[in-house]
Amino acid sequence: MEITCLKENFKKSLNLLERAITNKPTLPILRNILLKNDNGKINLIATDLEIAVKSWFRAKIEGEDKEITLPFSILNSILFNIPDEKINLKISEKNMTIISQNLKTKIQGIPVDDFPIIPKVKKEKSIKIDAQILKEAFNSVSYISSLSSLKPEISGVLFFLNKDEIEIVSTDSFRLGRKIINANYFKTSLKEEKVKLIIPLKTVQEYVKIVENLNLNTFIDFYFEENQILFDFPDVQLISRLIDGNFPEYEAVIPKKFDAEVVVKKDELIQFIKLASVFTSRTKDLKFIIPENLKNLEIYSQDINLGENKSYLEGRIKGGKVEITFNYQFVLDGLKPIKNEEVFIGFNQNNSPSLIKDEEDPSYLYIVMPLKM
Amino acid sequence: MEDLEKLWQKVLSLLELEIPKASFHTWFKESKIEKFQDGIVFLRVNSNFAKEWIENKYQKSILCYLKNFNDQIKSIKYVIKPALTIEKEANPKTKIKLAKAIVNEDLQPSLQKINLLPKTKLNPRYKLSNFIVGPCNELAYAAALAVTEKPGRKYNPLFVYGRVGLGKTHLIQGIGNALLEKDKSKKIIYTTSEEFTNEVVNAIHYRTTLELRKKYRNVDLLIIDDIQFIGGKERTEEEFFHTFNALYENNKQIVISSDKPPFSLVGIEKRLKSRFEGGMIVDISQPDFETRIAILHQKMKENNIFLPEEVVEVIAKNISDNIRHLEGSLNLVYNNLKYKKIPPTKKNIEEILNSIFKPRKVIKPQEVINTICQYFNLETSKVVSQSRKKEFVHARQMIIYFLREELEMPYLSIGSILGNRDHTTIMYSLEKINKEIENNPLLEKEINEIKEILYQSE
Repeated sequence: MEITCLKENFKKSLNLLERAITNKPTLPILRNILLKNDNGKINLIATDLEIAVKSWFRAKIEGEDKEITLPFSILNSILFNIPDEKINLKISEKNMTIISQNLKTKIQGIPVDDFPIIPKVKKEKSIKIDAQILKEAFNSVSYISSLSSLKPEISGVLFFLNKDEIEIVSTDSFRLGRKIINANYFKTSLKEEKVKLIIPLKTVQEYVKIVENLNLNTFIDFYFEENQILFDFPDVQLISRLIDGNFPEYEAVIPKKFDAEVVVKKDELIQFIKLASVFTSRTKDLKFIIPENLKNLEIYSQDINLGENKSYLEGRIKGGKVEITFNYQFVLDGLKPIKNEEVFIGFNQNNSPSLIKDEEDPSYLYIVMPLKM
Repeated sequence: MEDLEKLWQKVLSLLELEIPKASFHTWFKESKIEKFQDGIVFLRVNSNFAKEWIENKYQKSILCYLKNFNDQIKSIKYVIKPALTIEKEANPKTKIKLAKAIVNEDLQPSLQKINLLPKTKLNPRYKLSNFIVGPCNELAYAAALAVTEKPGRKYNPLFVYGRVGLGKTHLIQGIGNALLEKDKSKKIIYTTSEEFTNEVVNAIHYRTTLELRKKYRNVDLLIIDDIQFIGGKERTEEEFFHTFNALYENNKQIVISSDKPPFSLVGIEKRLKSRFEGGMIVDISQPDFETRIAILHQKMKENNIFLPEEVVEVIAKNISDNIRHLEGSLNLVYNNLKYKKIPPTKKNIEEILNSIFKPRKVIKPQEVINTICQYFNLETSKVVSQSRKKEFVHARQMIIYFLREELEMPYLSIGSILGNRDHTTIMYSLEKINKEIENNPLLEKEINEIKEILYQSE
């Protein structure tokens, strides 16, 4: 089989597979990618047996169809260093020769027989969704998911289709983030009103990278079955297993009542937290105080050896006197996805969770537990 | 169910012969026959990938083997279940977990899991009844028993010493648990000397020394673990000295553990040492072979696992210095045999054990030189020569770095190996390369790669 293509197309397509290649695979062939002709386009496939990525690129294809697997890292460094724009590839079962104006490179491959077969995902159940919006929702919460294998059900991100909205939820059991995608941004013909999928963190990260790479601003389809999912991007597909398990019933944990409610300027709050964090110890404990007169929100930190800091924040304050300690990093994390100027914080004492949300945009919320000092 | 397990093991042993090892492990890991119904075998595999692969490549042979063993089997269906799924029953709890576990696990990570009795801090798992007695700890055990019978009267204080991982903590906590079992109202405190130190420091800081004294001087049994760490901390030592006296005078029992006998403790005052020597001093030494076997049996019973007698013997023979290692090896071997389906031969087990406890390979200087020259693709003679070409100098410096940092050779001998160079030259080179490592991440990568080659090559 002979292929003529632009190097750039090949390179782009190959780059999308990068994170589906593991450095230390159980099977040596997983270091390789599979290359084949798929209806007049060249199709590249890589997998680490957790996720699989397929990508396609345009090329002129002549001769009898051949399939081959090639070591990713070698292919990648060669494509990176070839100066030419246009390249010719000659493919046999055992190797691939790259010919351009003034070079000839031969790469040894492994026959395709040992390459894993990528599972097919039935296209019965599907949801059409705005790729960019989903990416943002993933970005707002997915960093929370804990990679611990002890609790597999929270090692991924929950995708929860609840009638006419989608909830994206992550937790590590110390805090929880939720972002809601409303009906404008997705369409589905599903019969079920409720669907819960736990998507592995790695798959979510891969999704985000692909959307960024392709700079997608359109809707995409994804398909799912009981234990796997397929994201169908233009010329790229991401296939992954889903996590089997029950995501914690988080609805009950979201606090409705608060000991004190505060609305403050987000940037100011972040700045003061960062300032106070200079004096926190290894446990990153930072005290939030609302005095009896409800005048200010006070942030206090102290380290016996280093010093102490107290800052006063103006805002609208309701409720009563409160004194709570948080891991300041957890608070900063929760503030990050907020886009508007003002944030709402509902404080609760006595080891019950507090709530952080965007004062104007109800689609995002974040719950965090206090530190027990 | 057992028959299905056996049947599948038979099929696996046949398949293993025709499939390369790596792919056998990848695809058949954790595979299992879930059930057999109406001629259909439900085969559990760990992923969709495994299902596709087995279905497409091995379906025929598997079915053929299965039919050989049981002619009622007509077809195979696949169930996908990764190994790490929490069973669905766990669900109702998850809700509470979120609310509860969310509290501050990171401040006390390990305490949550071990079920500690609230006040005494004793771990109920450590009982005298599950303490394995052998010649190595007979005396210590007898003394412990005597203490539980007549606390504060017979051997006071009881001083137990021995190296790490031989069961001191088990024994002294066992005394506490036994006493508590007899009489629930007894006040018992178990603490490590480090915790005690922290409490003293806090008490001084917050001026609550009185409360601390009240806490420790009103107990029936005080157990202090790892007393050697108290050395050199004057205020703690003083506080402990007075606590000790107060308890002793009131005939309250004190149990102390340490890694050395009292007279060789470093940094502890004489008056305290002599008090330690006033009661009973017993040591726990390394368990002999039979005791180790008994310990392994006990651990298997506790963890509900089973291994054949030959396997237990191999483990006991190979691991002798530390009971924690013994327990770790037991789990390691068990899991390896169970999940990787390795036949339990002596050789295999020793291999598994070696993989963890193997001492680092000893490397000869010549190997270092050869490996590095090969890595840079240079001739050894030129690298050792006086040439000042950049490539040779670089390789030479790498060799010096490895000989010094990894093999810890003296400068003089490094110099003489590398073409009789002066030791100051070597020192200069080393200083230069150490500086470069800080500034050049590429160099670090090179070093790591060379390390890998060095320690890997058999």
